[in-house]
Amino acid sequence: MDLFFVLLLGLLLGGYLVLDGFDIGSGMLVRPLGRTEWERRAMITAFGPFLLGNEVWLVATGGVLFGAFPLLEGEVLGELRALVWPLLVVWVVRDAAVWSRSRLPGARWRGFWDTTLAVVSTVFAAGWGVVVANLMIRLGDGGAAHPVYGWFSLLWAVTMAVVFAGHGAVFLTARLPQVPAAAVAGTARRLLPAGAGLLAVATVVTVAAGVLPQRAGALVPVALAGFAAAAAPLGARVLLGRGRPGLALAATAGAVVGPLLMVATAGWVVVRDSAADPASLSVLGGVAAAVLPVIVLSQAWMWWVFRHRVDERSVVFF
Amino acid sequence: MDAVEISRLQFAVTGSVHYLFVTLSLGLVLFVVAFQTLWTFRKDPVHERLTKFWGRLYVVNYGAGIIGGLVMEFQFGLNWAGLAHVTGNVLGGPIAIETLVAFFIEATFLGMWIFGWGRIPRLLHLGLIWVVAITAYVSAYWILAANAFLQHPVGHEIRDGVAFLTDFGALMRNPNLLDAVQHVVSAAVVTGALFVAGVSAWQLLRRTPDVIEFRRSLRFAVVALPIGVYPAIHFGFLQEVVIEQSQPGKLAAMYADPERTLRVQQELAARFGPGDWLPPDWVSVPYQIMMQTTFGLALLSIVLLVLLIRNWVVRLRVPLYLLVALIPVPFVLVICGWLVREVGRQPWAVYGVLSTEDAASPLSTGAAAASFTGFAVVLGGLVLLNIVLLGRFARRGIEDDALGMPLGATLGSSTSDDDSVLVGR
Ligand code: HDD
Ligand code: HEM
Ligand code: HEM
Repeated sequence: MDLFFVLLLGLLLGGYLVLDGFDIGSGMLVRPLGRTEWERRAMITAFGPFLLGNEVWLVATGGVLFGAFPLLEGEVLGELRALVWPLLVVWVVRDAAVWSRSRLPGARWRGFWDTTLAVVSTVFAAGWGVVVANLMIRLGDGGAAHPVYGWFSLLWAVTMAVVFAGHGAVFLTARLPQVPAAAVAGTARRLLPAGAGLLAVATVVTVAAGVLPQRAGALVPVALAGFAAAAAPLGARVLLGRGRPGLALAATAGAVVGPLLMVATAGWVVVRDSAADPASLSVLGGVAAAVLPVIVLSQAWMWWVFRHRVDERSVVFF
Repeated sequence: MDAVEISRLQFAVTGSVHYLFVTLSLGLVLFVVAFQTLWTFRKDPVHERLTKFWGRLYVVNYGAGIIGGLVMEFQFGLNWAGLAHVTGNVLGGPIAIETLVAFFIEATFLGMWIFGWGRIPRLLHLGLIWVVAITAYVSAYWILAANAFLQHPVGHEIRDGVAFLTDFGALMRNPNLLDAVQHVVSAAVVTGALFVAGVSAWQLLRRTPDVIEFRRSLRFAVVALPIGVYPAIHFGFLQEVVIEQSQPGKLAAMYADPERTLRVQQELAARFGPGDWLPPDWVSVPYQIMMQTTFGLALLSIVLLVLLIRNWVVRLRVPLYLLVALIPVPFVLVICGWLVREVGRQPWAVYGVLSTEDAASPLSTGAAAASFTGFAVVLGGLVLLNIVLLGRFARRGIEDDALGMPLGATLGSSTSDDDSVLVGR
């Protein structure tokens, strides 16, 4: 049962990073890449239908963290409050920006929210980098004393900001109408190698900096996960070149979850040990097992309905 | 103020903010469902336009509901670590189930409902909003199950100072939960009805061109009002019965009754040891407000029903002004209700198990104050923004592109580089 919940937690958080990851990445790019109001609106419409269904993965992560790992919840959120709290504010402002910008006409209103969206999305992406770094420090338990916001966090912050931006750019390439998609693809091709390079550097530093226990058993899996993540954006770039943005998106998804896998290999035992009492887990497990298929099907249906590129007939709201 | 008090204030403020929007969502979605169902089966354009008008208000409001909810959910870990430590095994369950069973499907389908307008077959599209509405109420049930455990902890045993789940069914059938759910649902109906009635009345007073539409939504709302008010009274008083058994101190405070207070204080001292086990007796004020106002609403709802005859509600005009003025009332009532329930639980976080003091995270006053100020500023700003937007859309009246507008219609041409022109819809 414990293992089931570790996997479920990983699935939810990983799913969140991949899915809301392209909302975050796209949000970073709407302002800089959208040259006209029409293009910006099309970009927002590209991720709009998914936004609610994507961010709910993090809501569920929070719920399962509380339900299945109550001790960890208190600890992770409590110790990292200097990080969790600003992230929460950033998340809320991101939602408000998406929700508000198209409610009123007027170039200044929309420009304000687009700028806000770009700024908070970038901070949000970087914040996930800081989360990765801190989970590595705390769960890996290598004994190194790093502050919540140290140079190690900064390295991961920059890395994840670039990785999310690349993920978003690939998503937009896949979802926008052909003409703007071609322009975004150019940005994607520049971002992806940068993301790959940063992931490789961050992996080397993570292994070498004494953040993790200095044993081959702990370091090798982390290094493998890290380098696999670093290779993914390069693969995505090749696939983009071949005109396969959908597959490229799958590859950048790998780049986004790679760091989570590094955390997981380093710290899943700690997570498992903080699981709730078996009686509670079995109730929750039964419910989770029953609803997971429904959740997966409804998400798959959403993807199916909005699988085409945005066009003039696509419905807008955000 | 110390850190615990600040954390409590923060929970109270964010909870109230969340609930203001959520209760409107819960009420409004019923009207959206009704209008869309009628539109789907009767194919009457009046219902289509009503669906779009109320649907847009619903969606805008929903956004604010989410924003508050996110802050609520992560607050447990941030400010109330003791709660997770002692009762996490029990309390975490309903909250986790809520997110998995309700939010996941609700959020996915709402996105599809908004963006699938005109693209998903009509019946399926109708099904989406039905599911969104049902899951919203399911989520209310589960979060109230968590809250009911705080009020009246059942289905668990304490070993070494930690609560373990022994009977999940007891949690789901908590007597404190069942009346509360029905009371909350009734309250949501009242909120939705008074909102729809008030906005419709406002439109009619402003001489809207869409008289047929707003007359119809007004009539719907006037009929819905007693369907909410009378059950609210019924289940409100039923809650007193449960409270008397499980939280005698709360009932004493609700009526600020000195005799009862004295007796209960002695009982509680015998049970928990020396100390002050009573909540502040000012909860009688919000309680009286909730009760007396509702009696007024109950009378009014009957009068309004009578005024439906020959359309007097509209023709007399005075009832329209009254309905506009009543828009804020249900929101005041729900905040009063929560103050009674949550402040009345004090000094316990989990009644008889965990004191509020022990439930709080060990925060410095500065940290607690900083987090509270931040949330208050951000949430406060967003709330104001949302109210302004809701007001605008309520005022603008029916626009056929309120929902389901295609990208091609947002701007004249897709090639214009000129941003200085008005940006479109
Ligand atoms: C429009 C909304 C509305 C209306 C008309 C009423 N209430 Fe209420 N009341 C609520 C909205 C509400 C609420 C906000 O929804 C609460 C907070 C928690 C809950 O379960 O419902 C609540 C709580 C609440 C509680 C506290 C339960 C507890 O502490 O465990 C009691 C005893 C009542 N109500 C009683 C009444 C009575 C006797 C009413 C009428 C005569 C009444 N309410 C009308
Ligand atoms: C959304 C509607 C809600 C509102 C408006 C609300 C209101 C409040 C208020 C006014 C307080 C402060 C009490 C005091 O300091 O005396 C409070 C505290 C608290 N509430 Fe709620 N509440 C809501 C829902 C919930 C739910 C559903 C839960 C649990 C699942 C919950 C858990 C708590 C906790 C843990 C505290 C802090 C501890 C305490 O002061 O006892 N609340 N809430
Ligand atoms: C401590 C208490 C609460 C927490 C932690 C909480 C948490 C949340 C979260 C995280 C969301 C956003 C979900 C999404 O992304 O779709 C949300 C929305 C919602 N919550 Fe709460 N909530 C609380 C209290 C309540 C109460 C008391 C009710 C109703 C009785 C309620 C009903 C809803 C509904 C219906 C929504 C959907 C949004 C809307 O309709 O505006 N919540 N809540």
